[in-house]
Amino acid sequence: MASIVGGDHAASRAGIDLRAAMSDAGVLADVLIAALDDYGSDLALVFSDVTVEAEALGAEVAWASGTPPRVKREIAPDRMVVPDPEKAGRMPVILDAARRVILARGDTVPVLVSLKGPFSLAALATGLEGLLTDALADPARAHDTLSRAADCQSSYARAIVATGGIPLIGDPFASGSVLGPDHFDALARPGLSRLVEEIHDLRSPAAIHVCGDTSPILASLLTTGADLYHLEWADLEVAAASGAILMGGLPTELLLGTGEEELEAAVAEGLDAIPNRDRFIFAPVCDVPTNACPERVRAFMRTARRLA
Amino acid sequence: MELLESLSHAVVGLCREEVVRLAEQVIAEGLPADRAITEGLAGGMRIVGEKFTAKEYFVPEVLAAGRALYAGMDVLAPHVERVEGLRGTVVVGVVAGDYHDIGKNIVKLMLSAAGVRVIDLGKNVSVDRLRAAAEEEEADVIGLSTLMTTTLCTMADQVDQLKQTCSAGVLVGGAPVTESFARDIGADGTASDAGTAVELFLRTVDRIRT
Ligand code: B12
Repeated sequence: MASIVGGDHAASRAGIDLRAAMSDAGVLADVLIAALDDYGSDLALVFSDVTVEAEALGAEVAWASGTPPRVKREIAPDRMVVPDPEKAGRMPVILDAARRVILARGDTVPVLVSLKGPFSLAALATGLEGLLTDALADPARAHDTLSRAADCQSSYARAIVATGGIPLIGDPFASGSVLGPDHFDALARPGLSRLVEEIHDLRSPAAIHVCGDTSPILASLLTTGADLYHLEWADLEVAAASGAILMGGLPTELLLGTGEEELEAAVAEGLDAIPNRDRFIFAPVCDVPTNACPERVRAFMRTARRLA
Repeated sequence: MELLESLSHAVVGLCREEVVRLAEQVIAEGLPADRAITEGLAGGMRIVGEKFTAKEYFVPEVLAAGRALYAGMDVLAPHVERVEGLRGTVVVGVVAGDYHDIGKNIVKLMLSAAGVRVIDLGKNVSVDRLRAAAEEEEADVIGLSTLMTTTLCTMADQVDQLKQTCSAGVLVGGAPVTESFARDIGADGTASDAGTAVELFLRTVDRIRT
């Protein structure tokens, strides 16, 4: 059972400004640990927001109160050069927060540390439409952008493994809501496979998170060889056949509702759909929404433990 | 006309060069450029929309079809009197607090392909900007998009305020938006994908104009 809390919900739950929490390792670790303890999750996640690596590469990030930051100004693809993860932007904040969470709770729960998949990093840092236009009109250029992004993430993944955390590669743009199987194969899978392989070489497990509809890309996604997949909508039977551990089951919007019965029904339905409970972590399909009511998340964890 | 059909096929086949070549042929043979746009280019884009709905095409394919269509438009447009805005003016935007714009951009592309003049206000758009743009551009319809359940309340507020102060129709969309939600907040409708969204926009423009 896991609660999947990122910096946004953890900060908002603690009544702390999102930017303050997402820019300071001590504060970020504190709010993440507080949420972990409150919700009693069997797994910790160190995740701030989706812009960390794009910002470290030079993209301009904008903050607005109450919501996670976004990329405001993208960079040219050739400006994607491997940064020093201990120095660039907020990468050191994440790495330091990971060390703190691991020190505090690493002996009781595994600690996943989030990084973007190369395709999503390239889309966030340089812009999705430009990247896709290149993929059609100038494939060599798109390829170059993606391999730069993979180089960056390879170095960041190494730094994450060095903290003792397990890399969780999030690839929201590689969702089947955006890409079909051909483009997933050509643009997203190679970078994911490379990262998984490199993480395995470092003797660490690797996890992948994709939100949205994963059905069009599932078969290809499962060939990346990750040890854990955290998915939104997927054919769980097919995913389970890969032998990997699966995580998910509860649509995130239910964490914004209020009805106890509705939650109970969704948890029961989610649990029913699990093909192999030994290799399943029941959790929200994506991170808990920023402003979800903490009591609702507690109710989810309680209900799931009772019904499981 | 065979050539128009080929033009439509070339859009569906995402062949930009072929679209340009055929568009040039249309002009060279003195065929009506306006029909080449509406039946050839836009007709092809309609099929692209259907394929997108059927999950045969995805975002990259729609963007590629858009590129092909615009390349053909560049050749044909100088030969027609007025292309844009023939079928109404629409203001689109993503509601305040939300930065998901992939879906909105697809809707915008499909609408302009269908001959609608589209004013795109981007993401994180306030109700004041929507209202001002709708008035200034004399929009027939305003289209609001959101992808987050957390910003559905903002969408409801914006629809409410627009309905009180604007004569334009208001349509809403994005993954978490349902028919019943759209009805409850007083919007003029919703559509779950870009293909059906275009039909809905065109119907709403017609209704607002009569
Ligand atoms: C890609 C993506 C991103 C990208 C967005 C890039 C971009 N420029 O848009 C990135 C990585 C940046 C991103 C960021 C975040 N995301 Co996001 N993202 C997604 C994802 C995977 C796919 C969305 C998408 O593009 N779909 C493809 C398009 C084509 O489909 P569509 O938008 O639905 O549009 C179609 C129709 O709805 C319709 N339509 C759309 N608009 C309109 C308008 C009208 C008028 C009409 C008629 C029709 C219509 O036509 C379109 C074409 O067919 C979804 C997953 C999901 N389940 O949807 C999550 C999702 C939307 N994201 C989510 C979240 C939480 C976030 C973040 C807050 C994460 C974080 N913690 O930082 C941030 C948001 C920051 C912010 N304040 O906005 C959640 C929202 C949950 C909630 N609370 O409801 C989702 C649902 C994931 C999840 N399961 O939790 N995300």
